[in-house]
Amino acid sequence: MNFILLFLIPSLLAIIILPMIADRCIAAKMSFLFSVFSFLCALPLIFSVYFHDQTVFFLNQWLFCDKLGAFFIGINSFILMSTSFYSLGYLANEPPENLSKIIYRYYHTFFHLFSFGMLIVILSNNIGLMWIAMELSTIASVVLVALYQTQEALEAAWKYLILCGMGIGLALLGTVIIYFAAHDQLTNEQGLLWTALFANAPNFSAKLLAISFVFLFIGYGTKAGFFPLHNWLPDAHSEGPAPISALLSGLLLNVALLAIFRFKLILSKTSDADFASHLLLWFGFASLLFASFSLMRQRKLKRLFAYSSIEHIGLISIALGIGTPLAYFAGLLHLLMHSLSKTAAFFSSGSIIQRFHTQTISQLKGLTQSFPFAGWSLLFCCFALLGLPPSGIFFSELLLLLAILKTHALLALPLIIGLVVSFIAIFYKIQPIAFSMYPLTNDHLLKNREALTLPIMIHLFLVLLAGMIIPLLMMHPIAHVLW
Amino acid sequence: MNSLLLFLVSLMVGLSFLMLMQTRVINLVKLLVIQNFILTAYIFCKALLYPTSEMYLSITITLVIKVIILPWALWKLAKYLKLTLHIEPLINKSTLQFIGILLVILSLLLSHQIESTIGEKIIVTFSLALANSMLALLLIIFRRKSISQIIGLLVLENSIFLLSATLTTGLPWLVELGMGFDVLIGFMIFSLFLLRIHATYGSLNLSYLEKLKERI
Repeated sequence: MNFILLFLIPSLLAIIILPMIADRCIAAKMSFLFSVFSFLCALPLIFSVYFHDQTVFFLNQWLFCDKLGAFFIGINSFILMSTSFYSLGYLANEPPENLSKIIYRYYHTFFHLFSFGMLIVILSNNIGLMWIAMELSTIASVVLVALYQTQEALEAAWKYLILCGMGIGLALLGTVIIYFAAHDQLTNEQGLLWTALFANAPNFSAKLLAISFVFLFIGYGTKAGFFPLHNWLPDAHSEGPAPISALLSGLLLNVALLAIFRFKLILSKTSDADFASHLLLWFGFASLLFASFSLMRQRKLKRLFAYSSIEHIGLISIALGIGTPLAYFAGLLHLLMHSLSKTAAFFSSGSIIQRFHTQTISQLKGLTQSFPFAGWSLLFCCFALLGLPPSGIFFSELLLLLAILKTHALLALPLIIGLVVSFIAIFYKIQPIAFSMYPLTNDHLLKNREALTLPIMIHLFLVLLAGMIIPLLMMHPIAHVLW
Repeated sequence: MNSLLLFLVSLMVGLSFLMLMQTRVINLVKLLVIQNFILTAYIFCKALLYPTSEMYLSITITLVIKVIILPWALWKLAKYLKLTLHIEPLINKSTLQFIGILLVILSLLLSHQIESTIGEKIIVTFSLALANSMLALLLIIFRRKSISQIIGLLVLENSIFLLSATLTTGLPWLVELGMGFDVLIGFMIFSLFLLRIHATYGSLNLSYLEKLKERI
């Protein structure tokens, strides 16, 4: 059987079966089970792509999985698994008046629809299919953001829908133009296949490709949350349920970046290669600086992390914009580490919000005393996000800095300013939440503690492990020289 | 035939300009429906010129969605929400119109740059379709009513249909179907949201949706 088909079966089954299960507990457990299967089925796909060095095709070449895709599939399926495990605990602690039975069913179905959309975006070779899948994931996630049906959630979802609807429309415009640019060389459906476009890119008109890239960049960049188009992001992240915020921040932004990256690779084979790099660099720096200064004036916990996501997306886009192998490595490593630590941060803030029913930073105080696990894990997640050694983000940021010094040395200055400002801002906001003379207490205890704590620990452990192993891997060549 | 196509496209852009000027929601809806009709006529002419199977699929999808389902649904929605209200654009109309004209000039200049690759025949249509999408963005940005934002999105969708019909003789069926469903599902979700907003606030005015706005 084709590995891609095998990988997609659990998600498809989940979308079909989960709406029919009425019982809350069983539905949550089934959802977790499906995502475990999905992760297990991803493993053979990833192994065959990495170790047998072959690109897997499926469905008339519409779907494919190369090494880049396999990397993203690995991140996505792992984080989906841990998020659905966290959901077990999160939903059990949700007061029943917040989530009625029908909404509960919506949650699981749309959770898997959303993840299915993202997986198809990663796997699609056909850029039309990629666009459709992106639309699917947008629509599914809008429903999830509006889940609580409060006025704020409604507003956030509306903003998300309008901005991303506009962005997706522009991306379609770009897709049509790229198809037109290719129609002399590639007949019919070939003109939509990414592999064919990539192979024949030097023959296309570079100007047309550049114009289409602008539309695609703005379109998918809206979903990635680049600076002038970021407005939906903090609202949607802060008003949805915590597992959904984690998915939006940890996975959706990556997937949108992957789409941009694929088109950048096409453009980089033509004479206008610099254009795409400059666009990524400009928007990356704008997002980094804007987000790091905005972090200073955030009053809500999840909004703080949402702005931190914009900052990290800016960093990754800078890395992709520089475009040297070292920079690509730094960017992809940063993407992986950011996904792991940001989801952990959203998990722990979700538990805090469920216990204290507020996410206002000035009210949350001294949690390491009153709610030790969440307080400490929040603190460690922030350390990881801020790039303190030995977290993996320290290494990716260091590599990024080295890459930037090699190519555009002057640009290191705004990069360092952005990193320092965001460090100060987040540390200043999180420190009183962790330690205070007058801790905030209440006696509302959370149920199902294991499900709430285990994913955070695993994610933080992985980030720590990466931070410790990668230096060793880099020492390896030096050791060869010595002995 | 080519001059007829050009006439239809310029009519669409003209309608978008008229939409920018409207202050009544119901007029916006009517203008959108007229624009849908013209778009269908355009694709029909195109299909007569280039009779491919993709083109026929495209005309069927456009006909079913844009001429039959969407107007009916919009009409129902407008009736249910009693949309006889006035909406004022954020800046005055003449400035808005002026910005619109500037955008049209911009897109003409932009497409002039790629005239050699695109071919003289369709360059005007291409630039007008691009201009139409920019006008749609204006329509979305400078209104304070949620329904007019949806109409702006639908105009954007129209100009994408227009552009794809201009540039290609029909996209592969998958993309055509995807575009069609996108319009439909997007519209459904949007109207659900509109109904919710209407039920929660008793109005569609976006000034209620400012709780999350960051104040410095």
